Parts: sequence; C-alpha cells; structure tokens
Amino acid sequence: MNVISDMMAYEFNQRALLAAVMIGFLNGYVGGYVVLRRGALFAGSLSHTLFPGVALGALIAGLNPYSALLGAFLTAMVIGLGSQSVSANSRIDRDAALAILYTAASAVGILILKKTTTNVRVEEYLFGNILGIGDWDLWFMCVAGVLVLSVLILLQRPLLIFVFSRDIAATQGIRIRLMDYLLAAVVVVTMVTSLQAVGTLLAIGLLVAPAATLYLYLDSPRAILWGGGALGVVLAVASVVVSNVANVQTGPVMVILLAVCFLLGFTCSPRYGLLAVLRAKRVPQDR
Amino acid sequence: MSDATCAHADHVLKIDGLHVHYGAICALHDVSLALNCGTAVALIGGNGAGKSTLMKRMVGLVPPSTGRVIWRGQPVTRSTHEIAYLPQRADINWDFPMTVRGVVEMGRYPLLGPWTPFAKKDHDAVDAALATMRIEDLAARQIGALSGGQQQRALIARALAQEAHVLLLDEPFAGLDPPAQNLLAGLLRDLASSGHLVLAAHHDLTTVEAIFDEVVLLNRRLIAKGPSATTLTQSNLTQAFGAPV
Repeated sequence: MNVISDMMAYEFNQRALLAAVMIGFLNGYVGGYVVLRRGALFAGSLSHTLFPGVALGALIAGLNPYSALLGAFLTAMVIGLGSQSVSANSRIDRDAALAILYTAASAVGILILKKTTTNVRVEEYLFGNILGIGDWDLWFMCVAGVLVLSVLILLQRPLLIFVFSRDIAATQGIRIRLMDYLLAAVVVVTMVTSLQAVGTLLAIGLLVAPAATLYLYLDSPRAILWGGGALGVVLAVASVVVSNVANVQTGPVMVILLAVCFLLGFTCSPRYGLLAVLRAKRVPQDR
Repeated sequence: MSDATCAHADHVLKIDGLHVHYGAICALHDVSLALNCGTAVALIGGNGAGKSTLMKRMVGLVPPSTGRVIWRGQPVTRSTHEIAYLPQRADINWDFPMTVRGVVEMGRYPLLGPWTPFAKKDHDAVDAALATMRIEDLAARQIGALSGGQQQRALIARALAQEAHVLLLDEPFAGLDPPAQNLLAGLLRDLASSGHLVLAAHHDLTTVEAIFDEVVLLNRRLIAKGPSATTLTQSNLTQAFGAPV
C-alpha cells in the first residue's frame, strides 16, 4: 500500500492512473467488437496511420498535443473510412485497400519527418508517455470515451447481429455499410484517445488483447465487451504501478502485461486453452 | 400438406418478372412464380442456376433489379421480420462466443428494436422456438459445439423466434449425416404443416419427394414449378441441370 500512497502523492501519477482507468476501459470495450468482428488486422493496419498523422499535424501546426491528436485523428479517419469506401465500391477487399492507403500515409509521414526538425519529439508518440498526461488530455479521453461508449451501448443489438452475420443483419434491415463505417470510426477515436498514453506502436495491443484474452474464456459477447473493459482497467492500472516501481516506461509494460495475460489464457483457459484442447484430443484416443 | 386452420396458410409470396445481373452476367432472367405458405418447396438447379441469388433477392441481399417481390399483396421494399433468410452454414462464424439461446434471442431483436427490454412473451417465444426445433437441451451450449444438424436447427429456431412466416434456407442439408437429415426433414415438414412457407435450395434429388411438396426448377430462368411427384421429369431435370441427370 505504501507504493500506491507514495505514487498518489504526485499529481502526474494521479493523472496517469485516471488516464489508465479511462483508456483501459474504452480500449477493452471497443476491442470486444474488433475481436468479435475479426477485425484485428484492420485495426492494426489502421494504427500505423496514427504516426504519419502526428507528423502531418506537426508539419502544419507545429508539434503540440492538439495538432498531434487532430493530425492522427483526421489521417486515420480518412484512411480508415476511405478503405471501407474502396472495398464497398470495388472488388478490392477492405484489408487490401487499407494496406495500400496506410503504407502511402507512412511514406508521406517519413518524408515529412525528414523535412521537419521535430523528429525527436514526434517520436515520443511512438511509445507514448502516460506520465506526461495533462488536464486537457484527460478531458479529451473522458469526452471521447463517453461518446464512443454511448454509441456502442445504444446500438448494441444491431452491432451484435452485424458482427455475428452480415447477411442476417442485412436481412433484418441493419445498414451494414453504416456499421462498417461506425466500427472503423470508433476504432480510430479509441486509438487516438490512447495516443498520448501508449503511443502509436502499442495502441493496437491495448485495443485487442483484453477482449482476445476473454474470448478464450467466455461464451457471451456482452461479457466479453464489459469484461474486456474491466480487464483493460485492471491491466492498465497495474502497468502504471509496475512501471512506477520499476522506473520504466508504462506503454511497453502495459502491452507486455496484456501479452502475458493473453498467453496465460491461450494455454490455460479451461475450455478453449491449448492444454484443454490437447486434453480433449487425447481422451478419445485413450478409449 | 397445406393446413386450412394454420395461422398464415393463405399468405402468398410472389415473384414477378425478376431479373438479376452481376455486371454483364445474367444470374436470373424473367422469373415469375407464386409460393403459398403451408408448403415446403425445393429450389433445384445446378451450380450457378441462381438458387441462392433468387433467395437473396427476396430479402434484399442482392441489389434491386427489375421485377418485384410481393408478400401478402404488397411489394417488398424493405426488410420484414416475416421473411427470414438462413445463410449456408459455411457462411457463419461458428466460433462466435454465443450460446444457442443467445443466437435464438437475436431473432427477437427486429421485433423489439434496439432498446426495448425482453418481456415474458419474448422469453416464451425463444423457449417455444427452441422446443419446436428440439434443441432446448442445447440452449446453454456454445454454437460451435453443435453438430451440423443442430447448428441448422439453431438457425431455424432464430428465424422462428423472429416470427418469420417464410423461411429461405440455403442448402440446409449440406454436410449432414442421414439421421440428422431425417430429423431436419421431419421438422421442415412440421413447419410447413404449421403454416410456414419453407423454401430450400436442395441438391439431393433422391430425397426431394419425401421432404418437399413442391419443386421449383431453375436454370437462370424458371424451368418448371409444381408438385414434386409430377414435376421432376427427366426433361425438366435435363433443362435445369443443362445435361441429363
């Protein structure tokens, strides 16, 4: 308890823990839809557009939290929704369209970095810095989080049918293209919200790992959504504490903890873990 | 098979002058037919004959083209819970973390909308659908842990919970072993007897007569429609499959 009370004596730690709670829950919940939709590859590719976006924002308006977030948001949104639009209006699938668009964005980002003198500070956005969170960042997380969660909770039923079967959803009057755009947009907002805390490289881990871990334990999409949020909070807060004690960066600790948690589930989940699957395969052979 | 006392035996699904094109390819040409509730109808034709396209067009999964789908006297211009389409089992993600009951409950969503909570009648409808498809005992099981026949029955139960009058099934018997086929065949006949229109894309010509009252033979255009016993002639089958069968 001394560790916690010592940490809480510092305002930047208080802000870091509050940020961990907010982005942990938001990412865990939104990640539930990413995993249920089998869209982790899409989200991962989309996360690569964040960094060029930060660079673009820095080029246009100088590097500050506003330009970085706005640049990342607009770039990811244009590329995310653009790839949806390309796949909706051609034979090209969404992942192929995104691969082309995000590599193009990365190339532009590299050229921009070569032309600017802000390389070092821009690169801080690769891994994030949760201890540098300001009041403005907290407000941004709070407002964006409430907005995203409200939309997802209000539209939970059509979204669940959509991620279960696009055909069934379409026959029930659900506008599946709109759902595609909506999920792409909430993924972008969620990753941008986490940018300051975990950075562009690690954002996808925090988004996908909690729900993917629970996918190995649970047979209820709602439990995965809410449980993903709860697991995200626990692991994000734990990583702030661990990184504080060990005096290392929080972002990498967070993603390593998430990966350990996932690997535990992958091996030890009583129903869908590797050991359970191997045990189940062995039983018929023994008979 | 038709039962004059059943709930919707007098409902008719009409297809009127339907054409569907995929780019330059004609998938369906001028198909018109009328199907009555209270019957089980097999949709028969070779690969690429337009069976799936016809069913998908009925529920709006294929972009609108010329021709109309008319249900209970009204053109179908938007989705209705009374017509349910069941995709092929291969098109469903069976790893989806949901129980059988959860899948069947989703059938109530179109009736309840996004926010109305489940009431007793909704739970009763789900129970009844599970019972009709004889999967009450499997309700708590994850959908991927079901056999092929059980999965098909779970999808049909979802459609029943939706209060569908018309069931459009894409290859429901594909990959099922004989006992599962027999059970499903009996249940489909029961559904037709209770007033549903069951329209199923079907490949096994040896079982058509035993399961279905009527057949629709298709080869991008309508070849024939009529009672199973009299319509499956060698001439019609040759036209439907493009070669002697």
